[in-house]
Amino acid sequence: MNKNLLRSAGIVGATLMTASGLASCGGSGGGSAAATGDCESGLPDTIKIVTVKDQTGVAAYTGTEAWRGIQLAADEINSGDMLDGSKLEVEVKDTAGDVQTAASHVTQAAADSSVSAILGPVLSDQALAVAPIAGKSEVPVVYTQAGSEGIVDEDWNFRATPPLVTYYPKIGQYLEKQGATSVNTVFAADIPTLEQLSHDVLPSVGEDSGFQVGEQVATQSTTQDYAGPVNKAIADDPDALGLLMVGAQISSAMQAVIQSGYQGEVVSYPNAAPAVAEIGKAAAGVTWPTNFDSSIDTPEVKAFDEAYTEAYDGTATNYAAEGYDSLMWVAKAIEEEGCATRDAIKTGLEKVGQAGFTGTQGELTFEANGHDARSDGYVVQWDGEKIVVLEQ
Amino acid sequence: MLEIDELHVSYGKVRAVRGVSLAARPGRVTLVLGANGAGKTTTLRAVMGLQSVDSGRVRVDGTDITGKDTHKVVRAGVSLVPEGRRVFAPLTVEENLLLGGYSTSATDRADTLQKVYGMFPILSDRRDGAAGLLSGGEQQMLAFGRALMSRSKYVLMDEPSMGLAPSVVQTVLMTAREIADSGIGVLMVEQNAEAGLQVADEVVAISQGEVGFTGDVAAARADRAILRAFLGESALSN
Amino acid sequence: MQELINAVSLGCIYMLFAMGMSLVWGTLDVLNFAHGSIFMFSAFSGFYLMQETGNSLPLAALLLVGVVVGALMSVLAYQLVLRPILRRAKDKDSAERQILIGGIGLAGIPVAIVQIQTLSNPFSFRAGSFEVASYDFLGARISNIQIVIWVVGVLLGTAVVLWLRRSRSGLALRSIGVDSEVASLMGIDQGRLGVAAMAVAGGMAGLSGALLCVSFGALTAESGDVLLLKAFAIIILGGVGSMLGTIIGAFFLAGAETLLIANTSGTWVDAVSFGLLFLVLLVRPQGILGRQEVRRT
Ligand SMILES: Nc1ncnc2c1ncn2[C@@H]1O[C@H](COP(=O)(O)OP(=O)(O)OP(=O)(O)O)[C@@H](O)[C@H]1O
Ligand SMILES: [Mg+2]
Repeated sequence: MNKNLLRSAGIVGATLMTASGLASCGGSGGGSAAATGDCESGLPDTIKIVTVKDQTGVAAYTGTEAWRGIQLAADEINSGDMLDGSKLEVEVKDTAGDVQTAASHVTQAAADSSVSAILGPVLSDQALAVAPIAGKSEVPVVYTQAGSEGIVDEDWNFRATPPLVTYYPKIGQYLEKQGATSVNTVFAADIPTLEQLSHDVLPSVGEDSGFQVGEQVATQSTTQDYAGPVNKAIADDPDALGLLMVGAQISSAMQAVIQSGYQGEVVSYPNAAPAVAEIGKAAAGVTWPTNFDSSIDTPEVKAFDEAYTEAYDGTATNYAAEGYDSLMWVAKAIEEEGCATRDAIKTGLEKVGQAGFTGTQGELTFEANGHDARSDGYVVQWDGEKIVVLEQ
Repeated sequence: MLEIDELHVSYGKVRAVRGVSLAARPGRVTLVLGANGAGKTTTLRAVMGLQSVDSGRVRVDGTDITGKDTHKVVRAGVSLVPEGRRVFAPLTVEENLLLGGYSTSATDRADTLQKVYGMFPILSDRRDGAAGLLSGGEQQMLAFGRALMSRSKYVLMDEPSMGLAPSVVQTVLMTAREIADSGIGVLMVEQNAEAGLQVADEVVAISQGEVGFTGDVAAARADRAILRAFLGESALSN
Repeated sequence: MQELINAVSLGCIYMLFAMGMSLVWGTLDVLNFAHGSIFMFSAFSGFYLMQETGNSLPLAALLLVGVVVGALMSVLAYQLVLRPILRRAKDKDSAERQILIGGIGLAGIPVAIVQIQTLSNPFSFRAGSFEVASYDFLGARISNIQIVIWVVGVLLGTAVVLWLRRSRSGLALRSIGVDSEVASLMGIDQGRLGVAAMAVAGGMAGLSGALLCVSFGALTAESGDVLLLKAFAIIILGGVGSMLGTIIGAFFLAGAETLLIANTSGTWVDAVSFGLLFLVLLVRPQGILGRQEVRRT
């Protein structure tokens, strides 16, 4: 939930228009090969899945991490012979942070009848452009990240990342335990999800968990100096302070909190992970709800983190976990239907979704008729050296 | 001696200066006459390295300075009082003068500054005021003073009387004469031929990029072509 | 009180950044759109060295790296791109246009390098070699890095003003800003002075980059862009070519922003600061301390 939201709202209309334009000239897939044939003959030797995600540009990190997770899932599926001798063949197309590029990659993949399914972009503006193309050309697309509303409204579109706002309420448990009764926020007002967290989600969580949200200081994605906003937010010394902004700003805001001498709780959201790691000891105690952390103690996470570390060094990220889960979901759908046509995969995804499954993001359930992932989430905290899980 | 030898300068296809040769000598005023567009300014700018030269040579006391960067030409001992004076309007009078002495040593600069103030008391009075607030004549004095500050051996002047009231023209040209009398070689372009001839030692006339006449003032006053072109029909009938 | 401390710190950073830009704009006619990416890349170089040396660089070394890298980049940009443009351009207008475009093009290179290196993630000088600490000061908090920023800001701000006002080379630079051709007729070597001015400008950009990276905690490849726009507003506000104007502009904008954040919803900060810019352009186009005749708009 981060850069994907950066440029979402304003351009939605425009991107939808370009997308439908492209879709109409891109044709509607069709053809004869594996992905559109019938299921009588069982699974083909190879099943082609195309990944369309940012590998360069503003969301390069998110996109490359997701692609890492996808490759790990493919290796596991193929080497474990999960699909009965049939192999998944995955390839990646770089959208380079560009809506048009994303749309044209998806159009091309849809027109290629050997492609069974697409793993869609991470940025909401790209996803919103891609969704109608998927619907028109009847090819299943599974997104990670891409948290905006409206993306999975269109049939044929699926999302493997639970939207931030759906598991954010988990933070209420933590705040209640800390006895917090007053919470102020500093948030990026031009990022719809973060604005929603501050204005709607936190106050409604507070009603159940016994705190009130007071001062909410709006900033912008262009804000660089956080001394002023933080200063204003801690003026009445709240029990907890919510920091809800993107990228480097979250580091700046934390730095400002540290310099201000504020002693209360600091809560944030998953984007805080790199920031606290950069700051180190001084950021100890920053807490946030998340859909994944490599230190979570489940067999799925342990196995995934080991595979990740072996392949890429470092610890697994949430983006990689989501990518992994997205391809696993597709594999389970193929397994379920015993068939790898686009129709079958769509049906399979819905069935698997309605039943729910356990992935690296824990127990996933799905809303919107099995299209949109949900999870309870976890609450994690930076202890000054590493992230520890508080609520599982 | 400042020698300009067979100089050719062009602006793209326009050949503005075509084989001009002339010289300035210490202690003397060389007056350059020529109609509008004759190539006078172009010649001076080419000497200063502000305009690239097609062919020909410029020498200062034997040293070749053709095509050198402007600041090097200044260091070689030649400075220009540009057409329209072009003082640094927002800077103070004293700052303008100090800039004139940019390439001299600090002690020389201080000495020369006092000399210039002695020569132009008005500049001393207005030393802390913005140069742009001076009158036209005063600005011309400042432009002279600025050129003197460089301690150049040769000073080129491009139409110093331009735009000045007739009463001031005399003063300005007399100042040019005084500068030459102090041992400096003055090369002066002047449209006001009559006033110019009164202070000049030698005369060069240029038309359409070529030299038409070279000689002393007496010879110039005797030359019918010069009289017709620059002093008017009335002078001819005398 | 706390607002005052914050505003002064922010003003110092704005000032360090904008002064260099104003300096070369007002004197060399170089409106350097690469100034922001020089700022960012200098900080990034510090970050890179920090990683290479296992986070062992002291603050002073980081600031030094910022200054050196900034100065080098700025001089290179001038010598390789901007100066040739200035020389070749037919007239002032086309020179200004080409300088703008050249600068924007140049700015893209370091940004792209850093985007690729960091995958567009924020970068920061990792904690360890120095700690940000804060102290009580007249009932408010001030941090050690803020003190560094104040000291550096006051010293450098004064030094640059004095340099331009009092020194021979400073005077020469100002004369170039008024009439570069006549300046060369004074015997001024514009190539050398231009390089010096660009080095000072780039060094200050680099220094502010390193300071900001410490103070704000992190920068991204795009951080320079936001600052560039603000510096633009500051310079217009103060008047192109006036160092004192730039300083006043920097503190004015920082003060206005801090006050706005303290008293209104923060959403209005940018709108109001740029509204202010339009107001100045309408009412007093030469800026607060600008020369009466407006040479550029
Ligand atoms: N920058 C330029 N580009 C093209 N042609 C030019 C340029 N400057 C001068 N010229 C041309 O070169 C010729 C000589 O011009 P120059 O300015 O040297 O004349 P001048 O003798 O100084 O005239 P005036 O008495 O009007 O000052 C003219 O024909 C003029 O039109
Ligand atoms: Mg002329």
